[in-house]
Amino acid sequence: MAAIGEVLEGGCRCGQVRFQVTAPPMLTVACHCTGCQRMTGGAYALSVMVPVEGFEVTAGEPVVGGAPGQVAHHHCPQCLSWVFTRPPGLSFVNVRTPMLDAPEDFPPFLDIWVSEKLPWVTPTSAYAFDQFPPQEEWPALMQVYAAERTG
Amino acid sequence: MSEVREGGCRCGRVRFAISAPPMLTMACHCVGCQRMTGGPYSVSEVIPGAGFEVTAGEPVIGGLHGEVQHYHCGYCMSWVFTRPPTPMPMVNVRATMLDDARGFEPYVEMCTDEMLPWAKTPAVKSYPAFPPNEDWPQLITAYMQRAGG
Repeated sequence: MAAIGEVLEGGCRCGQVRFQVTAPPMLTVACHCTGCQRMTGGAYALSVMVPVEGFEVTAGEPVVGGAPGQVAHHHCPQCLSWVFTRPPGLSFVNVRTPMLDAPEDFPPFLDIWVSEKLPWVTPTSAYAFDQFPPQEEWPALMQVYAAERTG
Repeated sequence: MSEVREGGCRCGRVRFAISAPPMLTMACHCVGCQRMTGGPYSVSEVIPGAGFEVTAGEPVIGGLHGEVQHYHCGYCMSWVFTRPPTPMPMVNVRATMLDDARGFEPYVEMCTDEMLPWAKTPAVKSYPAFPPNEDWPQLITAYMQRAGG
């Protein structure tokens, strides 16, 4: 498992876009919504939520993808991998977990939009939400996650 | 014959129609697919080439730009389908692009040596790497018999 304070590195399928994570992840999420199913071409999207100041693109120039009006989804312009999501005005970046060089250290801590999941997919995390978790639940989830990571 | 099934990318600019039953359904756990998806594994239906048609949009090439052609929507960048090197007469369509993907379930999963520890699927057949060439005909036969095709 990655040690606290360790720099995490990662990149896209072809390696043109590379990034560093220098702050401890706040939360790990599997999103089962049909939008994420289409963005991935997989069963669900995997994210590691990191503080915005702890995320830096170190190589390449990501471009914006996603549905019209969605300005947050950043892809590699060459291989078109969906590398990270930077919600405007918010203090975190959602890095797609498999872009990390060591993704196995970051299993999902919560599953969201379980109501839209593929029938044969079984959520594996400790917390499952039918839709997007209510705003007031996020701080507590982050506290529990941080406690488990440092525990 | 199967009914026509339709699908498309996240933004809807690329649309396609499938007019043949799948030859096989699969999940691939390789690290390349993990990165291409941003998810735990890719999900695909293997469709005969003659039974697949792009009906809207102009897909662009992504991935490693090699012999295997990975087609994406150029706008939303969804990874929509893959054409193996010619002359293999088939298309691997990402199952979650279907308008109704709920009927999809992977029959075979592969590259489980690279699988994320929590990402096991209920696939009937499981391979640690890519299935050897000689196994594909029997996988297709077994899947199509099971599916009633």
